[in-house]
Amino acid sequence: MSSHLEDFDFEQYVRRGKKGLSKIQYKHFIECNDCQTKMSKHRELNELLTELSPQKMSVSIYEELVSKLGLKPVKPKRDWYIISIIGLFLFIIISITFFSEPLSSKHSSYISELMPQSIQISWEKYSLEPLARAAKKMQGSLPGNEPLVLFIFALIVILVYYLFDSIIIKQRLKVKT
Amino acid sequence: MSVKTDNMDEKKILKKLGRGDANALAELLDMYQDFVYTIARRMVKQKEAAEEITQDVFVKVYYKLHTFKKDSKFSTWLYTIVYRTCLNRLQKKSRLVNDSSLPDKDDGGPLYDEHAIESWRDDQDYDRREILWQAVDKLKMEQGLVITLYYLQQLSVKETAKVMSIPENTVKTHLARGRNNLKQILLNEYLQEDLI
Repeated sequence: MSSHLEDFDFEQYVRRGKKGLSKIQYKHFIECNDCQTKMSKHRELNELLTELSPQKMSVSIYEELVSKLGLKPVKPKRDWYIISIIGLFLFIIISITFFSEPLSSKHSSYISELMPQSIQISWEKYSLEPLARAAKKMQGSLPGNEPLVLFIFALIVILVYYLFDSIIIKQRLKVKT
Repeated sequence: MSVKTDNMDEKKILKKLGRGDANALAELLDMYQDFVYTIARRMVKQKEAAEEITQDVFVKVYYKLHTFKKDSKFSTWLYTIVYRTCLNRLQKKSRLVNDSSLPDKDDGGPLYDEHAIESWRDDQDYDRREILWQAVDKLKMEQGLVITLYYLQQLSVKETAKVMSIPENTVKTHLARGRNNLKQILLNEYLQEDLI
């Protein structure tokens, strides 16, 4: 019978399983009660040790390191942001076009022509009239000032972009303390 | 995230850091700061000293980055720097103690603050992790360090030996003795309930 397993053999078995032992060692292990008892104790301690996690520093060293090393924060590439902003901008433009079109009187009369009589009555009675009124009101302000509206939207988009961007950059630079 | 992706990210970060990108430094700190600090704590046994060492280590990493061989593992290289920085500090400290006219208090025992540990023991809020770290801190420095590198950093015996510049068999011995001593410390000094 081969000799008993040593501490490191147990460790190898715990880490790598059967492959951690040679054939002779493994054969000995499955036949030796003493080694199996030692192995279960080894496992217990191992389970405890796997709970070890890094300790955290109470202070952040990032700022000090940056000044010590004379580094300057570099802005990250923003291709992704630009694409998303363009997407958002297009979405707003499409939304404006989509919602303003059915409200115009030209389209509302076209819809009413297509509708069956019964629906037409209820549509005109309950939906079209208030909508038409709203559309008329909007027609007074929207089409005339379209460039102004777009300009305001563009401003909002730029504002949102910088707001998100600054938050994301701050998060990126935030160092675990 | 897979190990491969991690390595790719790490390579990118190191490349950027080499160009002096502060954001790369932030990312590197995010990845390794706590590990570096934990190793330093095991060696110098003092919180403030470990924090200073952590900072020194990252300064060294920045200036010595060009000496890092890209085909080797960054963590092993980094922990070697941590280990050597801590050793230098301990040697300086030991020289200062020897040169001092004050009686030498260093009896070869651990450098940790015993009062801090006593007060810690009184604190009922400590958790399992802290109990474990306190137990690891009671081991001899080499044993505690080997346990930390092997179990926490998941280094292999070979990598641990490389970091500490010692033979692999010595690592195995430290590991075996460290584990046995740790078991004894946990059994003798802490109630079973503390760990359950």
